[in-house]
Amino acid sequence: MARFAKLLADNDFASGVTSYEDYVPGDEGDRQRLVIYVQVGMTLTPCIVDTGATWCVIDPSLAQPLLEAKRADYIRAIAYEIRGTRYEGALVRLDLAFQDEISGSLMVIDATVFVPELRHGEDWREPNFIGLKGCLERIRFAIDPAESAFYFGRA
Amino acid sequence: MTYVTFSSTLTFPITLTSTASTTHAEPDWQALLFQHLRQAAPTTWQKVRNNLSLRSIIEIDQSTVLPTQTPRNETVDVTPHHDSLIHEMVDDEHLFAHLEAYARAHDYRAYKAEVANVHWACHAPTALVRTITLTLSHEWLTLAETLIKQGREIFPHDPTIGRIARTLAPSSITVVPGAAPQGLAASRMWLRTYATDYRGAWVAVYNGQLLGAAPSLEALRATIDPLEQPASTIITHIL
Repeated sequence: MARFAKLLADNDFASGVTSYEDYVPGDEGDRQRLVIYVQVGMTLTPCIVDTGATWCVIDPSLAQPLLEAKRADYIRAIAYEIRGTRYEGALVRLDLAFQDEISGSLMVIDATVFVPELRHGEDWREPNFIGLKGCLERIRFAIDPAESAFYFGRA
Repeated sequence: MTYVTFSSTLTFPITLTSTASTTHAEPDWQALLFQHLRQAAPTTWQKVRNNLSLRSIIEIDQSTVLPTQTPRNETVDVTPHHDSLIHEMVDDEHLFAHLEAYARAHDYRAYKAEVANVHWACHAPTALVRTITLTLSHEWLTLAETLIKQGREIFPHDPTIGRIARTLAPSSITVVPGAAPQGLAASRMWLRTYATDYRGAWVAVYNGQLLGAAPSLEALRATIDPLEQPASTIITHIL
């Protein structure tokens, strides 16, 4: 993997590379995705890269403990449509880290992400997304389908 | 120092038509005056007409004192003893009924035009906050950013608008050293092969091996904490 790593690093385009998958773990459908593994806080977890999505979306089970610890800035009472369903939640600042699989270095972005608010006992049944606003818009990225490599760097 | 000049037309009962102009491009002095009016004379304030221009028409009794020249940032003494004629009310619910109808219809052009016609200094900051969240909820981001900018100018000390601005401020990016991950390819292969067997569960996979599975992330963490290596352990909810 990462045959372009040196080229892109030498030209200051990318600071890291990670493999991507074309599926969400457990998804039995035949939908093609671009899924990378991102650290949300200290948790490495799959996220669909979606340049058509306005916001990143992070599972509340992952996000909530971080928000309680960090006292992050937020905007409540936001509605956001995910795969045809409109959810209520909040936009919050949360650190997402892209991990370079070669060196282990982390590119940390204090992204603006949508975290759904669940009613008591409700379970979240959507995957995590890396969206454009407040995240991808601030970084350089490129993919090499020949090696399923996702290159990233700060813009 | 910036001065604001009012040109006034007086009749009895006193009808004050005030227009404000300032040498500053920012509209904050007029905003400060309106804010002061809202706090000092809330009943009168409810009668201030939400005009399309920076002009307010207020009917007050003759005990009201409004200076003709007031230094910027100096408190204006506007304390009516009682209110007289009622003009068109500044009605937030009426405004939101329109905005929400346009938003539901995805009529951005009408929504934007309606928003542009509002002079936010005539409303409480909460009205602007509500409009910003409604705008964000329809992903009209450029308009939302315009409203936030206006909010910062008109209500520079409002904590909610400040928090909204910080939440949407450009992200910062830092690169920090970390431990090279171990066995991620094997863990991804495990997920590709076995994830469907754990539908509905949270799982942790390290170096191609299942560390644990539980119905919640909290329960999973209790199981795997001693073994977890964050850079190399994949944790996910199998949907």
